[in-house]
Amino acid sequence: MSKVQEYGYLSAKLKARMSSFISEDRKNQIIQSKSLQEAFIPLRDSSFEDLEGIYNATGDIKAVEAALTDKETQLFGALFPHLHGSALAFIQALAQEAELGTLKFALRLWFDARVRGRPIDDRAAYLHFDYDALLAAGDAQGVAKALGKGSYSSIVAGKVAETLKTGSLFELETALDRSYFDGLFLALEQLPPEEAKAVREFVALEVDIYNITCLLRLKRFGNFPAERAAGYLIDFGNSTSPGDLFARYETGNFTALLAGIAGRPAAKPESSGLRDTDMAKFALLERILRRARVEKAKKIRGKNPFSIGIVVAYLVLAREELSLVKTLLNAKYYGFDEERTKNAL
Amino acid sequence: MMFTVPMKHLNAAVLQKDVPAVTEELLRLGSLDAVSVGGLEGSRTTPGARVGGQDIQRLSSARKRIEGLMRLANPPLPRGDPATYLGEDPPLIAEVEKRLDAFAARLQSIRQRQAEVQERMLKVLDLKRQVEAQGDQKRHDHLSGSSLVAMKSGSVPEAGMKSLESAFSSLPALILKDAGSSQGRISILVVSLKRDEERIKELLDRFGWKAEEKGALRSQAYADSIKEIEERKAGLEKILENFQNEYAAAVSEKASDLARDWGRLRVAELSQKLNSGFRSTESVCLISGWIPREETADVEAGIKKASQGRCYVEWAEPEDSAPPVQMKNPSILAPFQALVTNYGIPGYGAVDPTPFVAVAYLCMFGLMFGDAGHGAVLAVLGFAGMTRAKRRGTSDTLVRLIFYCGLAAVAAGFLFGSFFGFKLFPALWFDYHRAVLGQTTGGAQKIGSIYDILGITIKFGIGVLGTGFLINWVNLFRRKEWRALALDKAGLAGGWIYAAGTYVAFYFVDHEYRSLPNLGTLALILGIPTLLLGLNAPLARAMRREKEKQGVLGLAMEFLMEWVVEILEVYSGYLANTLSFMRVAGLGIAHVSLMSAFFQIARSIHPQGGFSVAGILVLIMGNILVIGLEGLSAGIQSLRLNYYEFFSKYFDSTGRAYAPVSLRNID
Repeated sequence: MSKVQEYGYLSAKLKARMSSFISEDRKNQIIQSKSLQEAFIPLRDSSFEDLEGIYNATGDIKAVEAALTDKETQLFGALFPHLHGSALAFIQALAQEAELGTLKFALRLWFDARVRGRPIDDRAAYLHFDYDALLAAGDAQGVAKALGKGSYSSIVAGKVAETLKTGSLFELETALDRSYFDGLFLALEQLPPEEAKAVREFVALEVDIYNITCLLRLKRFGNFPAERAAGYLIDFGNSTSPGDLFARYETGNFTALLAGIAGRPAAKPESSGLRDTDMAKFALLERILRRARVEKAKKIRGKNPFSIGIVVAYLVLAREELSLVKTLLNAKYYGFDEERTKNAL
Repeated sequence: MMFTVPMKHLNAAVLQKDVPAVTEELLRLGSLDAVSVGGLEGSRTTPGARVGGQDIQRLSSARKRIEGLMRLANPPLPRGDPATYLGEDPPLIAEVEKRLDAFAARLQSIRQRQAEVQERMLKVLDLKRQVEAQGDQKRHDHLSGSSLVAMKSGSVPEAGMKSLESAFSSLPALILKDAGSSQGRISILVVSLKRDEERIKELLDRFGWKAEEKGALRSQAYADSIKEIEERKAGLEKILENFQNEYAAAVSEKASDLARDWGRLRVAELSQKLNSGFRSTESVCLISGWIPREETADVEAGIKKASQGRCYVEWAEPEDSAPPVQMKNPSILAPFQALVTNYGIPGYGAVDPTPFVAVAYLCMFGLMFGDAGHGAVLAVLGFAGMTRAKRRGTSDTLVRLIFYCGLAAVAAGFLFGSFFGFKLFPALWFDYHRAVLGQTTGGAQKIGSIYDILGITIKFGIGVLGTGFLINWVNLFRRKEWRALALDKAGLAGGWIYAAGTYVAFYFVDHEYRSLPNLGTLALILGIPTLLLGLNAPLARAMRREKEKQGVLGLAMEFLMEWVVEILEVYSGYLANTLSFMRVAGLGIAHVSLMSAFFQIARSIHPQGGFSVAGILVLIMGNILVIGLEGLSAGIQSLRLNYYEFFSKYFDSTGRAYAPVSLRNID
């Protein structure tokens, strides 16, 4: 099958979808809305029109968030029938991130309910019933049994006892993340060279964003020995190894860290961010990398339409759009004014 | 309708104290396309009227916010006529904003309370799902075991029962009580989710829980649980329904207030907008702008009435200034006017192309999509879209265009005798299907082949392009551009070449592609206008009276090059423009061919004759495909022919649209 045959229809379909993404004008209208109820009005006649109906029926922002999560899952699901072979395997590997996100959320709920004895009813309400058994599990064995033979059950089974012992989900979650990245790298290797080249930069950015998030969490937990902490980071052969990265992080030299993590033109820091607290700096860095990812996707959108690049670019932009809508609606829910809403983006 | 609307320039001076009344009158009339008056020489004028104004941005955003709030009702609340509020004091924007915030907060508080009940509902549904998944205890030995539901039987002191029930009301759990009590204790069965076991245990312990085996309670657990859950669910559903009613009532209760605020804000906003174009001295305000000629009397009378005669009004003809352009067509032509303005605004005083576009567009569409059945489908879809747009208060331009195209296709279907590809009635003109399929030999039908159809569309194209030339000549004549009228490539010389070229082409075809008119005739009909084209550039240069920097030879070479390029452009361009109309035949032929292909497929499924169920399905799918695909192609190609072939002959999109500040404006 030629590349044109393989991607022709899908590419046209995705480009049509991309042209109907939320416009800047609509985005500004949402930002300027004075209440959450009013924020749904600019979403009418868009692919997010159904959210208003969901909110009106429930009054619950969590129901809206659950619908957005479903939309994210559907994004991937809608692509699978149009892909084949190694390209399908790669997109399936990417899709694991969303699935993993739900699993980690369920594990956090289980941990809160079982270990910390906290109520989880409101958060568990919109969780898929596949996770009922997990939430009801009383011990490590029960957790492993509840997950059955799912993709991540062996990792969970291996780490859950340690989780109960240490009282922290960090190890378990990083093990799951590592497994996701291992699967992604494997799928990347199996792509034909020109296809792999088209998406390698995306994977690198994915890794960078993950590493930054991980460093952010480590910072929250307090002092971690450098050697151990570096072990949590993912090594994708970027310009800076996780060890070096962590060393720069430990020195508190944000500029050096920034240079190490990306070394990309799009990752230039905004000077105002440098004077902020460490947490704000990390958040800024994450935003810069996310923006770099979006810019890269936009660039690819105008290039070769007959490659997996267009599919990944679509996924990046579509997920960014979902995240934008989620952030905007949440900002309205919490009563953020225009300025604060813009800063949250 | 034939030409753009003639305009007159208004210059008026009114006293500052009369500005509010005059502004309102101008808004009511809705005719003034205000022009900002520049500073007057030797006078101290300032922009805008000296009337107390509020921030126009705030007025506008509050008005838009109300529009949004009105759309929250189902169906959306009507806005009413802002003219009703003319003469009232403008609303204080801060007060309106406060009212809107309070209203939005009220709606939000309903949603918040609704969310709390919804949370309880989700807990009930969660419990219901899990209890049902567990099944009836009567059919299972143990209710717990591997289940996700936990059950505990025991007793609690009767005195604390109410408090216990109250504490349980926020949990996804049930308390099933035994009838009666013994020694001040009451037997209960607690049904909860396993994940909440820790919390439930802690809670029960606080209320003096004593675990005891209660077989009787357990035996009824499933039925009692389901009953209890259903009761709770019904209760919560009722509350949720009440929230919807409360919300609808809150919105409709505010309907008249919102309509009133919207109307007053709209008047204030437009007054501000209008005033911003005025210019003021200490005591006088100068008003300037364009008014359609036929409305000048009303406007003058209005200004005099509002200022009680304390005014000076002067009218000027548009001479050197460029008036705005208004195209006034019957509302039935609105979709075609939208097609024209989408391309550009014609120059002031030019022929309004809308009626010509309407005829040309519909003819082209009908020729490409000539099937009464397919046309009827489009017409029905268009009509449904128009009804929907009317109900939602949105623009119906596109759906109305689809409706008209459908009607054009129905008419063409009768001309060609086609109904969903079937020949149910005789063709009024010629049978398109038979002509395309070459089945007309020896019959009475004159149009017997694809070439005949191509010929028709070329003649149609010549007619369209000829109309384009005529319109251009009229425009040039009205603008008194005599040189361009005589010598331009789309002027008389260009038209002469086009007419002569058409004659030569038909002569050539009529003589079986073997001979052309004699040389003398060719020199006369093509040579003379071609030479005339060569005079265009030197004459234009001479009329501009520019000082020449080049020498005579250089100038002659430049004119020669311009002439050669012009000749190439005229001859190749006009030929291409005309042949471009063959696409009309091309799409019509494709339409017929596709239908024939689907008929062949349908027949081949059941070669014995007639159509099988599968064959009918093929025909239905084929028709849907043809309507979707061909409908879109025909629409796009008709537009393309209008824009690139027809408009290129005469359309001068240098106009500015007439935009009066009016209460009727919608944005």
